[in-house]
Amino acid sequence: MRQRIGDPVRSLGMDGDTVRLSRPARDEPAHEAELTALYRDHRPGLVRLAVLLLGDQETAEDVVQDVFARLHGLARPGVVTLPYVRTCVLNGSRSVLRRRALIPRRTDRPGDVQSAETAVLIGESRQRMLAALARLPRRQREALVLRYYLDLSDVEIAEVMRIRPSTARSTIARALSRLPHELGDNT
Amino acid sequence: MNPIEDDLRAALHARADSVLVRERPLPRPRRRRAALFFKITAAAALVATGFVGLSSRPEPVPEAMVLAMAMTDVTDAGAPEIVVYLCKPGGPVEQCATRDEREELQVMLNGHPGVESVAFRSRQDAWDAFIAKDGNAAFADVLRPSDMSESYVARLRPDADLPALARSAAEMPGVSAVIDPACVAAARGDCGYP
Repeated sequence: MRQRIGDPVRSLGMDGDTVRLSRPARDEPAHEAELTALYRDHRPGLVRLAVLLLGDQETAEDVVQDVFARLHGLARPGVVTLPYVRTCVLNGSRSVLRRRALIPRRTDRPGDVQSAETAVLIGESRQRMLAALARLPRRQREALVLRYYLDLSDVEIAEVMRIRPSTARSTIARALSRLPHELGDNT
Repeated sequence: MNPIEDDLRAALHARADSVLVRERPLPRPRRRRAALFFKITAAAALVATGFVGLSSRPEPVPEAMVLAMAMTDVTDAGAPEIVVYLCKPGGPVEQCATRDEREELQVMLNGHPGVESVAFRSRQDAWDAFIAKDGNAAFADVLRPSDMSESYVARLRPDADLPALARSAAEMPGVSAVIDPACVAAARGDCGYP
């Protein structure tokens, strides 16, 4: 029997019956292939970035999943780049933080709680540093995470945060000058 | 590199290394905003051809129709620009822009190196512009300024990456749609974001 494009792949089984195996993969659009590759190669790093911005892993994973769910179907190849996805993760994290700010603090929020195991792994002095970082204004905190976790340049930070490179540079400088005060006030 | 930078770097990497990322499959596509451009185009055609019945005011006026009406006063300004429409309550975007989100959108647009200037267009401005168009005066009895969408019009620098900026703006919370007016004026296909 002649095989047509789009038909299920067929082959003959031992008893001569036609056995349906699977549908041939349709041509995957280029942007979907790019998205799949980005997800495969960079999802762990993006989740870690979101953890550093949000404080808890569950929400961080949800933010990254949500970003990729939204990125399907962007029509043109070359649109979804790593800096673009990082910007989306940054925006998603900001939305979560805004929503958290509206939640009444009757109980500890998930982002406030770090597991005992994580605390031991990180060590006390580093925990104090992360707590000081968390007290910085949102934009300063983001700039420091991008610089000192991802090692991005001013230009790259500016691209991810959608600000000017000079603003990125001055934001980092202000954050670094404020950090010792945040550390000192809480030791 | 001063000690505090070293400590910060070490703390961030220690926290990141403590994260054991579980495998999860690539998520399925989220339902898009209902082929917004198609709806806009269809509604624009209805408005342009006078098929919108003036005697029967739909309640509420559909957001796609509102966008289409707002777009009729958007003309190719000769310089690249984008129009960022904010959502209306009851529209296809679940949550409308809060004051903080509007400020964030403004900061994003004003702070973007590709943006030359940003102007806010109120519902009243949009309504005035729509009614002032030839043949639209009769709509004045049917439509109210509150039916229109607010928007930001961002004039871009000639070397700006318009699609990238439009997509970034479309990602912002509370944004209903972003339109490239030059594309609309030239009746090209893909003028709406996302």
